Amino acid sequence: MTASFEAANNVIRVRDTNGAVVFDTGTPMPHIAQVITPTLSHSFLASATSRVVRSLGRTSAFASGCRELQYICNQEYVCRSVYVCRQEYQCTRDPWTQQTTCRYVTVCGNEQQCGYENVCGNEWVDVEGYETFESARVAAREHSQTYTLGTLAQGTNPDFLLVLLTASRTRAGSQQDYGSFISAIPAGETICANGSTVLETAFQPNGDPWLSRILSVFLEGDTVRAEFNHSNRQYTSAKAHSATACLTYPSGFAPLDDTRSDWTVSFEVYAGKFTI
Amino acid sequence: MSRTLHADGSTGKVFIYNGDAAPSVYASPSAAQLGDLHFHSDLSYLGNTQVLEATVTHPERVRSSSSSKWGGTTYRTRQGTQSFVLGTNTLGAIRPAVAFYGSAQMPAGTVVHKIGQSVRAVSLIVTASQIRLFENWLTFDDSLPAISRTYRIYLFQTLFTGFGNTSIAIEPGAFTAGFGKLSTSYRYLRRADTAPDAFVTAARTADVQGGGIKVVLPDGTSPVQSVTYTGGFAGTPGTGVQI
Repeated sequence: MTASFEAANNVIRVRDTNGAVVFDTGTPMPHIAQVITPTLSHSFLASATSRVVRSLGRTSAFASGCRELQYICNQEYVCRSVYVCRQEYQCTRDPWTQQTTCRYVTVCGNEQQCGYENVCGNEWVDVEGYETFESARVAAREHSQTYTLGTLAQGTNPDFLLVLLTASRTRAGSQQDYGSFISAIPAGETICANGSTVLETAFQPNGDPWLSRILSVFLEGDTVRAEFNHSNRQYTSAKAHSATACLTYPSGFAPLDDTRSDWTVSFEVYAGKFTI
Repeated sequence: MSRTLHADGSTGKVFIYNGDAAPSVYASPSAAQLGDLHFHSDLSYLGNTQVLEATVTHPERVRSSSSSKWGGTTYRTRQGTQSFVLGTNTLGAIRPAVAFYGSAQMPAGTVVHKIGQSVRAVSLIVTASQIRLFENWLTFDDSLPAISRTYRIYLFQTLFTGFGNTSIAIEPGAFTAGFGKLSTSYRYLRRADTAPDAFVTAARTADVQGGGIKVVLPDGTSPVQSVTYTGGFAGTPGTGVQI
């Protein structure tokens, strides 16, 4: 079969040697009206953070390391050496006269005396401590920011965009439960990114996302725009941190999540239009 | 209304337009005149699409855990990346593309496997020599077993500059016009309202709200909507094209 060119019935049609239609005025063909290649940087700012108390408890006196000076009285069995004098009735017999003389004499000496006594005084005593379990919390936040990537020639009125982009996450937000937010955007590589691109996601323990960040490239008239969109619901970290204290329940010690991420993105946007 | 094919012998330009205005009107068309054109050799067309379909076996990603008699099991987060070569870029240059995961067009960063918090997400990389897939995976208390996923890629050639010096030539085996920009050796992307191979769009294809995400593709389907999504994104219909 030969290639053909037809102009019939107000239709111009070109076929290749296989008979396949290469061109037909009845079928619009897309062409690229303009290519724009901007670069921009964006920061997904950190959502507000706080700490929440998960539970309160007491630590045993044995393990707490806490001591307290207390005035304590104890019954103690005490033995002392006491100098004691007694009146003893003593009789003596004179060997010469054979007379016996009796009288009271005072006999003194040391003797051991024992007994229970109330012994009081100030003592350091092991006491229970105070224990707090605390977790970090990220407050819910919705935020979007739109940038103008370029303005096409007036009246171009494109029909579609084909987008390639090269992105680098220069700072990665993270959660202490599962580390850096997962992102399938390879640093410095050119990726296909038509419509919207999922930049980052963070997941709850049940597997549903609690934080999502996307980048969308879209048209508004003849203007090409990029929108960075952030959404997170309130998230309380599954990881609890504990701290103990001797005088009161401790607070404000759990490390906080830093959700901020910074991105630099270079775009290659093909603005396309269909012929009639 | 009539259609006019004009081939300019001095400039070599060839254009086909709607109506019977003097050819000089469309010799160097303005943006507003593009709506009158069927073809113009000044324009840059898309075609000779490379179609690549590849199945990737994503390897097992084993969780990290340790157990003790007294403290139960402790899990640690593991995260990593891997790049897979899907095929050779036969165009030899970085060009725009449309990617599919299964039967759905795939936004960059698409999650293709998830068990609990353990997840893997992918993007399509285009280099001048290869078409690759980038995976970022994370495991916590679930391992991700090896899994196969099929991807299809349409890589579009962009005919920005013509070649040769032929304004128009009709031969038995070939037709060329406008310095080769209209040629039977080229396969052009064309609009297809029924059974398109892919869709192109100028609109957002996803939205986030309440921490969740919803994806609505240009064909109107919604392959992803997380339970946590609270918005009402409906998407914007795109235009179907035939490869």
